[in-house]
Amino acid sequence: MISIDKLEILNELDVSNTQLLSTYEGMFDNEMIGFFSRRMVNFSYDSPGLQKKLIVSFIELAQNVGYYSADKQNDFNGKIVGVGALLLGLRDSNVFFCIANKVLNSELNVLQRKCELINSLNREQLRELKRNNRNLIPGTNGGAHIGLIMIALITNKPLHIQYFKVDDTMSYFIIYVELSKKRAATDNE
Amino acid sequence: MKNIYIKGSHDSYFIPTVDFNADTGVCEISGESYLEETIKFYNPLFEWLNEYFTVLKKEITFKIKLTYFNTSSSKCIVDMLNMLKAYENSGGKVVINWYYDDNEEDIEEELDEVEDFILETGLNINIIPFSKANKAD
Amino acid sequence: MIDVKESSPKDLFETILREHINISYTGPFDSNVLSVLAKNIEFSLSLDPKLNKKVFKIFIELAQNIAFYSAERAISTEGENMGVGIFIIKEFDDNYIFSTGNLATKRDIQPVMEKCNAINSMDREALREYKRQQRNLPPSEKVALTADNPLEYGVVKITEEHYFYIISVKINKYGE
Repeated sequence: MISIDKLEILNELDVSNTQLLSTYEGMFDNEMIGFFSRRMVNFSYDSPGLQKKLIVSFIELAQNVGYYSADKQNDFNGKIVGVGALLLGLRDSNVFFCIANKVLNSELNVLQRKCELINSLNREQLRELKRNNRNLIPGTNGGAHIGLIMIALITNKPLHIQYFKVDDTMSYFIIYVELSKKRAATDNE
Repeated sequence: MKNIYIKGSHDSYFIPTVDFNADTGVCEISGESYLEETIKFYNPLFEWLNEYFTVLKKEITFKIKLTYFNTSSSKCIVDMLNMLKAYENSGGKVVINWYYDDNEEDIEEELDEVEDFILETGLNINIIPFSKANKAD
Repeated sequence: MIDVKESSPKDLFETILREHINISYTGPFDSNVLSVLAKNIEFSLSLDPKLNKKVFKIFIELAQNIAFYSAERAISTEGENMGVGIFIIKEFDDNYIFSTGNLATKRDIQPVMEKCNAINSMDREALREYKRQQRNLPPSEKVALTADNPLEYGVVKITEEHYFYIISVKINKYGE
């Protein structure tokens, strides 16, 4: 059984150098996504490209919650929106966020295999996986099956994921993303 | 054949500007694409292209100036490109230009994505920085 | 419920996930936040329409307390200086609990604490009289915090000047 009882995904966060900006639990509808994207836009980045990486990652993962969370609510238009949790903060010159949504325990294995596959591939192989997956028939809501692959490509790191048990039917799927606001130090520094 | 013009907007969703001109054969899609119902938005564009390829059968110049598109949109972009490829394979004349802002830094992933479109579709896409684009572009 | 003094981002997030909280937000409380939370309240809590008005009045008042009185400030997405705090909503079988937490100076908190004490110490008759008086006040002076159940509040001293102030309101689902 892969889901566990302790929330370890944030263990690396040293309290002394992190600043909590916001947490949220509720529907991941478009208004919420817009609200938090605008907040992220306002941090100071070395370049718009870096800002974009953060926003793009966030929108992709937040949309995933909206579509795939096992915990759903109706909204105004009778549309069904997924519920999840978000943590947003700063760590030194990085921005981090953590997104969690419930998944059925019966679906955990498929999800875990998908993430393990992504984490086992190098960049070229990831791009090939993306190209192949994009050719598949669209998922519900027009999903392209490549969101998690994009996160791995944008962050240029393995997906940082934990499964956290809720009860016998559900667990949380939690993903952690950290991106720098600053460009990497160049050779002449 | 009617033209398509959709004025883009950046609100809670991001709608791209779409300008498909049947007379000039120049089709442009620019701005950002992050939509409430992606397939519903792109379907009329697919239908238009289909009509252009089967009825008008003229040369087409396809210009993409998208600064952001989510993964659902990327799927629709690939679908449009595949239509262009099929047209090319059947003898149609196709020019595809992808424009990017070369003043922007940290856009390696974006350029990778265009390369991936090329690999996925087998099309020859011209990757053009804005600074080198002609006035007419 | 939450040990705020010890809370690191890690602890807070874990608490949110473990405690089956329905709706929560921490951060600056501007009008956009209110809109996001209001939508959640409307759709995520199985609200009896009869409760709507009361629930929303309480929600707005609690949120505005944070926006105005919190000693911790941050710039909102609109560029305004707004109060920072925590808002947690949890649904139980028979009621909802709306809890807020924010930093406040001793001086700012004083009138709010006095009001809560006064409300809590009223017997049933006094409370009905208080509510009658409230109805005659102009809307700007009405207080929504006359919930059917006592307000619970807690105060945690952080420094000489600043306290962390927590208020919990229980709203019954059925009847007064």
